[in-house]
Amino acid sequence: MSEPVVLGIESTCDETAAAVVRGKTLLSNVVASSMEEHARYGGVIPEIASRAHAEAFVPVVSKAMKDSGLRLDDLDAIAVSAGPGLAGCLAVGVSGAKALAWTAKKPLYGINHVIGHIAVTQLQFGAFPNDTLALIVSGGHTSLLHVRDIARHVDVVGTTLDDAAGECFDKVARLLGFPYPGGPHIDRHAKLGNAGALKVPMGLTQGRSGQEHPYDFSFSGVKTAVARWVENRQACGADVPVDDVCASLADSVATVLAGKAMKACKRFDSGTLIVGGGFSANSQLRAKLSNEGEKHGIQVRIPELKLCTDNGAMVAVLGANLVEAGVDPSPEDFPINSSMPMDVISL
Amino acid sequence: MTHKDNDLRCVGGRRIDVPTAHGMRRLGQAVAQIVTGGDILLLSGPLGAGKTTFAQGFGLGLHVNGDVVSPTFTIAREMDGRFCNGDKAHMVHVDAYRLGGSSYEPGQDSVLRLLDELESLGLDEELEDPDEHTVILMEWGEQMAQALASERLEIHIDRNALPCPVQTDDAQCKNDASSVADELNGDGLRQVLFTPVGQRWAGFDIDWLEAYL
Repeated sequence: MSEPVVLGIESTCDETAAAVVRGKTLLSNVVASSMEEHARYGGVIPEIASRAHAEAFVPVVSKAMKDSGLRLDDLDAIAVSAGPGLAGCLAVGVSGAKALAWTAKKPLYGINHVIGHIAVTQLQFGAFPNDTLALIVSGGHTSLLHVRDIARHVDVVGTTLDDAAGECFDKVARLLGFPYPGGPHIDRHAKLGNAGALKVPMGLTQGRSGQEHPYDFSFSGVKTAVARWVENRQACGADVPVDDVCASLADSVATVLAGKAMKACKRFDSGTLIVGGGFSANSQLRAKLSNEGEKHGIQVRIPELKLCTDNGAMVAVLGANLVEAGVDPSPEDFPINSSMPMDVISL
Repeated sequence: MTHKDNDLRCVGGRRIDVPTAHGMRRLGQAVAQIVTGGDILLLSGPLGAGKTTFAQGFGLGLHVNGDVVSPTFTIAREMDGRFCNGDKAHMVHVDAYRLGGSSYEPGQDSVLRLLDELESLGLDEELEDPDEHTVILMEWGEQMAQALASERLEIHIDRNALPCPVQTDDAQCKNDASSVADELNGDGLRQVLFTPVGQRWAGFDIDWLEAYL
């Protein structure tokens, strides 16, 4: 069989996206974001996001098809993110994809959005070597995954026990008075500050909890410690050295993420670390990962920014992997799953 | 604790001091022993007060499948477990953190907006009339749940700031090396205030909770 042509549809959070791939070649990639509509509320509002998906779905999918120069008939399959994500948002994408697949008489795959973040790196770096490790970091996810077979077998190595890394940044950003999304502001201020100014705790890296959870993460204590420090300064009437707070926070989070990722690569004898999710845009994390990778002889694959954040290509590429591997399409009545487990690749 | 049958509002409130994260988890576990299907618990407190830690203990107490992690991203997470009498329990863990953005001002408009949000999540019905197996644990949800649930157990966690140096120009308040010698941490005393509201919670016994710890 020639390389499968797949349309991928994504609607887990605030991006409505669609893309067409032929195997590992991207033919089109369209993203509409409702982020600006959420900014004034300080975070994604599910109701607004769902409505935005309903508005954008047809235009985005039409444009992705048009840009690819193909017709629906040319598709081998359609893939859609069925979870994890916001329930109302997933419902729009999955319903739209089901209707389209039914009309076009094409097989449909309901896929795991997080695994899509891993799969998309094939567009830039090619196929996965054996025993690839993946670090997926975003506002909603912080997971270390072991990829044995992208279409059939992915294991969870570690995950956050409380807050996601991006969530920790967002919450501290709000505390510091930055507008939403706060991550880029912390990134920018961190470049100007002294990373050693505050000793921000590194969750689950020391002592017994570190031994019991070598690959798990905890960012709740980080958030609390920084919040207390800032509040205390304010209570004392002292100014808050914003740049230093950001630099110390970013350094701590990047160090923990990179350290545990390297440890997991050693454990699984992996020479390749895939990085994905919106938080991989963070420049402190990128720098730390490439330094650590060099030090440990591990190739770190961080894709270009537009492939890190939510997009349709990630869904389409994973769909193509599933078609190539001969995995059955999802049953007609497959549901959305807002908390889909990370080791489920497709439904 | 005494109460009047006609007093469906607050029937009393009391504080428990919780010195450690372990203690907070224990407290969550203790509260899980006294809940039953249809109960609504409201969990509030500042950033990093220990709400998720409490929720983890609560989940442990209900023997839920899977880990209790922050539901901030998905707003609501649902898990299955069982109540202490053996009945099956459906735990809905809601985090309204992102629904009540900092740009909201307290007042009727924001409550209506929040209710719209809950409606879009299908949670307004669950809050108004939770089924016999469902227990709702809602973080940051004071405003909206007050508007919906007339019977509820409010749990407010307070986190003390670090003690302030005596003089504000004290070196400890400066950002010099001496103030950063110790690693920051999220530990410290928490005070947990329980406010039972409505007939359901009339017999709420805080001494039992304290004894459980």
